[in-house]
Amino acid sequence: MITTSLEQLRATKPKILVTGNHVRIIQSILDFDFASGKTSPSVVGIISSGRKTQKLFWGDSEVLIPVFKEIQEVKNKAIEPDFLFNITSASSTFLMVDTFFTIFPEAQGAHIFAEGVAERDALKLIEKYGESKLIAGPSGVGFCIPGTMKLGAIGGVLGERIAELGSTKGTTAVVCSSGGMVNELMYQVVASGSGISFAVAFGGDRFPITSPLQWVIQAQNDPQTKEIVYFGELGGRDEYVLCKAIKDKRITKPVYAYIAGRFESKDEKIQFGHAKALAKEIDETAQAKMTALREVGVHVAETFSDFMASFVTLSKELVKVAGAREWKMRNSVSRGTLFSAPKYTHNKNAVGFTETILMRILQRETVSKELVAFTDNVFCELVDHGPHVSGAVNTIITTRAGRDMGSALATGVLTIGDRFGGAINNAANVWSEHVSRGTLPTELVALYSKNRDYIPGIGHKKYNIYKPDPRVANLIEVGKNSLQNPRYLNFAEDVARETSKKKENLILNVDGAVAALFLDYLAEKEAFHVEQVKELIEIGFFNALFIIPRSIGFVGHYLDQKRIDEGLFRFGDSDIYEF
Amino acid sequence: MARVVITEYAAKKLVLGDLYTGITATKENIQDAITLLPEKGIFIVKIDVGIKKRGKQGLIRLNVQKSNVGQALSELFEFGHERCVVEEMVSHETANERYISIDLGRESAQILYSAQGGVEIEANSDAIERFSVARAEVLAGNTSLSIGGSPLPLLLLKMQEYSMSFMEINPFIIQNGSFMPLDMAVEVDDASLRKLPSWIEEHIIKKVSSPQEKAVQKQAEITSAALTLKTLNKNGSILTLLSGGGASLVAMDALVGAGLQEDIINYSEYSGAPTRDETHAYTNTLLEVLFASGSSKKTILIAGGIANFTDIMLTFQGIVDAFTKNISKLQEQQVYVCIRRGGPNQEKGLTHLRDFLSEHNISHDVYGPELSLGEVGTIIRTHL
Repeated sequence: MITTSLEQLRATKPKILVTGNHVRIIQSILDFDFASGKTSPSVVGIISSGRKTQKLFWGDSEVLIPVFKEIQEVKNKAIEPDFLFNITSASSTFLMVDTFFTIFPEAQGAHIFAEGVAERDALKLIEKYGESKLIAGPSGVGFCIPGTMKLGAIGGVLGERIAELGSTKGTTAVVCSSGGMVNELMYQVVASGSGISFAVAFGGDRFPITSPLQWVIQAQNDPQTKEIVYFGELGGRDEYVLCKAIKDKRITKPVYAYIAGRFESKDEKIQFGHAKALAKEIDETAQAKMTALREVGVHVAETFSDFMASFVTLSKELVKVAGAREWKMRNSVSRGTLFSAPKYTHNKNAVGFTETILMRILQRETVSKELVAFTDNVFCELVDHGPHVSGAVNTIITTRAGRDMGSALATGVLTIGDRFGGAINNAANVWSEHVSRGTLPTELVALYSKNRDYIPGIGHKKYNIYKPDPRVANLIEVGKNSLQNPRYLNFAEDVARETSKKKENLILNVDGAVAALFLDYLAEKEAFHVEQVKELIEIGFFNALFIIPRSIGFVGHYLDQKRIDEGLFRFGDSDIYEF
Repeated sequence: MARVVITEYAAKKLVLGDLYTGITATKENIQDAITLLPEKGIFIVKIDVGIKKRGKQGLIRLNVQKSNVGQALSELFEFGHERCVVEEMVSHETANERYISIDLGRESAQILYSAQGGVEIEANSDAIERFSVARAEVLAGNTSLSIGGSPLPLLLLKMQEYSMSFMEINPFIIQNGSFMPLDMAVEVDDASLRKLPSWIEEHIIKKVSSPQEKAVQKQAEITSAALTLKTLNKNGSILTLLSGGGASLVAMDALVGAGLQEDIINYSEYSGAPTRDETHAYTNTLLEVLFASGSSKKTILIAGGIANFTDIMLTFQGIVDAFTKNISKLQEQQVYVCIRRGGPNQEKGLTHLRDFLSEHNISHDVYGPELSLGEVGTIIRTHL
């Protein structure tokens, strides 16, 4: 039994997850939402690749919709969609829909856009969800409850029409096999002075997941609906099931019907456009089905023009959706902005340099004084490490070639990567992932040595257990004095204890220590949850903790060289081994 | 496209596997095919292109000696069909012939069974028993239902394995405990063709005959849009260019309702947002069919509903491209064009087409959603 009730849906604001990215259709859903007076889009996420957000219009302004790689990520972000709009290909449809309802068992329904979904995939979906979820398709354009939800391309993408659907409720349910014809019928119902209570294109496939009868029962149970407009086609026997329900008085509201496909060839059975549109047996012809419907009291029109003409008898009660916006669709030439960025605000509160930096790069309005003090220490330790290191060498060579400050700084910064200075983010990734998984330090070491890989944040060229890195010692002391429970640091130190048993220089290096401690501060002093930290790692945030201070060091090296100016640098013959 | 018929050879090979000893032959490989036959035996040679009631049409050769199989094949190929199947004759009593058909449905698979199968099945319709196998069992490829001597679980398993939607075996016999289908017809779900062995591709019965139908089918195979052409009366006077599975039926109904059933040259359907170039090529092919018609009156009906998101301007540009290419023939043959369409960019698209037709003195009527799709038939009729 499908428990979803249209009337209950009208009292809520259903949330939609879209799998696949079809910008024009998703935009039309947002236009509908805006016209209906919602304060935020019903589309709460898009599953796609290659981006993290999709910018769309929200009225005349714009909005960023989050994009996820997998459905599970949506759940991890504590977003609970009520409906799925699946725009992926036919072959991946079953997996997508099944995954969605497995992850969100409370969700109420879906629309499957793809044509060409395998019959057995459709049957599997019917077997699993046919009695519990409201699913429009495969194929077709979805379903729409005016003022409440537009799930799919239904109703089109044109401003005027969408504004009408978003803001006006009527009393006619349109239940239609075809995606193109549902839009036509909705237009004609409105043109006749009536309005839509809800409309659906259940799809032209042989096995629609929610059957035509189940949709008509939705209309029957819906107090908003007074009459039902039904459009079917030749092929299949769905209309006989409908006839029986009418005969059994399960359907009592007036039904206006048309069955398309009266062309019959003497020589052969013709496959028309939709998969189901072939009358193999006599009872599958349009004529036979029209006769059967007529016998149980359905108003069956003989021609399509008669069908249109019958709409004048539909009741003409139109209700404005509460809070609907008087909105004129954007001009078709209006174009979105090219970039998106958070609004810049000048910070009037006099705060220190490090605090200002942290507020800017963490995108926060306040930062704990403990994190500021720690970061201050990090910056001081990392500003410079002498002229021997790769980045400084490149800065020096560029300066001596006569280039300007910006160029010299850039060559130094361009040197930063996995081997030099850029391991903080990788280290943060390893500490964060394995602490949350509960990996034992010994297991981690075993894992990396099996793969003959270095653990980021472990090992130093110069320092070892006999000659500890003074910077690391200082930072750990600062951290231990202010943190209650430095989980990440403890884990990193335990790992280093294991590795240094193998080789004396496999100690916790400054990258590894900064990464671990910063994770601890975020968790303990800034209340970051795992997903937020994950995002920081994904965008490479942690390397900023090196790049920012060391840029200052590179500027220092540039100025040093300018002061002494020894002219262009060149290696001597003995500096290079030529083979 | 939905369900497609495969050859009898393919159906039996998929169901019986290596137990099946029949061979398949085309006109080109008769000699090679014969070498695969067993040394001894008496053979049956049948046309194998999905045609029913072959016996009555003389498309079967019975009791053929091996040395005569080649000749029998040559004779049958004279009928113009593409493929034959050759099998060993199985001697049996007609009384032992059974019938079974399995049709995949929404709630269950419908099964018809008769202990009196064979060519006279329709005459013995009282003997037909109906059964059904629940959807869950169908999807599992197994059932607890047992009917006569039919190997129902095996059939359901193979149907599941090879995405078969419909199977009819008439007749089959059980001989020495083994199941032998003598004639068999199978429809597979074309949405699952990629899951089938690749050799099946050549065993799908294609219901196309004209070069234009073949061209459209070829075009359809390499695009994500849907493109269909079915010639109904090559000497008719109305060429249809219809968009959308549902709207194309309504437009056809409108023509039928206006009494023009016999005048329709073709059924066509293009949808799923074909590009300008795709629409151009498709329209071009359809125009060939129109120009080849022997009718003295020629009209084109371009019709569809109010599109949800297909850009009308874009598709109409493709149509204008094709019209431009064929402009002199359109003028010579005094073709009349009727258009009814709506959707995104409809004003631009309709105006574009109207301006083009006016400029080239082609008589026409162009309508948007203000005209009911059901009225296109009466409008066409006034121009015949």
